[in-house]
Amino acid sequence: MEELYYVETQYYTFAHPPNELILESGEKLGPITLAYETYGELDKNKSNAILILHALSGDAHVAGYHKGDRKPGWWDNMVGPGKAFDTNKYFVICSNVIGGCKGSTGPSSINPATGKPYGLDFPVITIKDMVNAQRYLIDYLGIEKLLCVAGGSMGGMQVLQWTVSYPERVRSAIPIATASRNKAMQIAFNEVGRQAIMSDPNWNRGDYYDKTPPNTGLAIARMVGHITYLSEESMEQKFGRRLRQKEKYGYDFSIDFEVESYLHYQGLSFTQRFDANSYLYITKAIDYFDLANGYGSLFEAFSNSTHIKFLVISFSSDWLYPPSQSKEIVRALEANGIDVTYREIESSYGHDAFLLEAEEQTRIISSFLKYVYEEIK
Amino acid sequence: MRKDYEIIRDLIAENSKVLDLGCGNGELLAYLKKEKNIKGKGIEINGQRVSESIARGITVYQGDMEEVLPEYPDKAYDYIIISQTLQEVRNPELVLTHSLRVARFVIVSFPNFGHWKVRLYILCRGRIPPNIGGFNYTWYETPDVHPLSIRDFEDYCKIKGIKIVKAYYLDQDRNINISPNFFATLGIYMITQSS
Repeated sequence: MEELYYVETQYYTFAHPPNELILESGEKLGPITLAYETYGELDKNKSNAILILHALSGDAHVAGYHKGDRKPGWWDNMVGPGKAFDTNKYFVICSNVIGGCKGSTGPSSINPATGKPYGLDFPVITIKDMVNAQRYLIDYLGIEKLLCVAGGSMGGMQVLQWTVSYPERVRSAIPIATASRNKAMQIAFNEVGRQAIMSDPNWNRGDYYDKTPPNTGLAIARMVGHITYLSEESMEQKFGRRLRQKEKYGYDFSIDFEVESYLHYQGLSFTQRFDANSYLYITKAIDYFDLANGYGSLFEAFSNSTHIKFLVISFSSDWLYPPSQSKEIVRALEANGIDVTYREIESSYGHDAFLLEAEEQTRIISSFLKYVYEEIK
Repeated sequence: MRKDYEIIRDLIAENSKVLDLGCGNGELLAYLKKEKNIKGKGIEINGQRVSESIARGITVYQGDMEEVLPEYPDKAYDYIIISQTLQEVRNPELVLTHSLRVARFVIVSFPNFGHWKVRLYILCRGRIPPNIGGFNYTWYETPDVHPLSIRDFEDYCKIKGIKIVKAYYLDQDRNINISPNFFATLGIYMITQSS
């Protein structure tokens, strides 16, 4: 077994006024700080860099341990020495998205204009804006071309956006459990989450940073979200109708079932690590995501990405971003004559499978990267 | 290397674009990449085999060829290979028709169910032989839902106006030249849609 290894989050600040980042909405944002972590060593041609993009509630801490932490980064089963994204071979970068609350500039950051947290004065951001900000970081790190961009769910959306916004900066791409656009059902679940937060009196139109935050609303948002990450089968296996610390029904509205208790726990623990306003901004970014927007069609969107090698991965029981939406991506890539491999992994874990099915993903991702890297060496 | 793979190799031009329907573990495409520097792609429905193909560096699509083949544009490939797969698909006619549209040449190989041992087995025992196509399947396990003979295939090509460019008949590794529908266990064809 490899040893535990320690990482530290680093910060890069750019887009100082008057050179703010122009957002898709037309608004300006700056200065911007990105929290990021790196793993492994950049080779002398700077050709082994892999950018990993995180999902809705993720952060820059993809692997390894922070000093004093008991739990490793969110994709530690996939990133590290000898793992799928092998940090003995590759230089791995992961940054927190703008709009986030894990060190990058977001609604909980201090607005330089007022000296107070942005709250709702923070501009609405999009997936494209997130990627534009990451490009500054990649420039700063001196990397001309990324060996690979990879990520699941919203991370997969950023992967796709990278291949369309900056195709010349990307050699290969691994979008996992994702879609080229958020569809009605996905928007609907996000809206329920946002309404839960905004109906919490503590939300106070986003101005709560010196008061009690809207934890009840955020917890409910997370509960709804969490259901969409599981599957009927995995919930049945994990909880069934088992009762929580009781032999009989309570005939009241306290917690009866294990599944209720689990969701309460997930909701509550989320409030201790996530900002409600960030949840609003990031889900909105996901809802606005439509890669074809401005190109006419998905096929047109990929027309400058023909040199990029793709590995598209989906999971059989993922009903939030189902295999059919991955296949839509594959069709558009194939129609452009792009080299694309598609793998639909059999799993009962639902959308969460991209975080859990490490063995099969390791097998295919490590092979895919090996051949991409060999081609340029 | 397997004799049928060597025959397929010799049929394929250097640097061509090849699509292998039912590519399995990617062995044939990897071989053709090495020998002929082809730009290859496979379609395979079995996930584990797809992973094995990826491990060989093969580009592969996991899915049902009958679903995706109709969506491919005309003449997108130089060759489509249907290696011992045709008898396993639900709709062989759909697969052949679209393959002939999508590729300039189609290479088809299949186990010959007209082989004398099959005939004798059915004649003497009145049962479906368990080892058709070289595998020990019972009638209820076999994936061969559309068994065909060399004569069946050649008749089909004639009726549909499909041109047979080359034909090879094998019994194991041996070439068969006389009465192939009786003596060959495998037929390999290169066909094209005559216009």
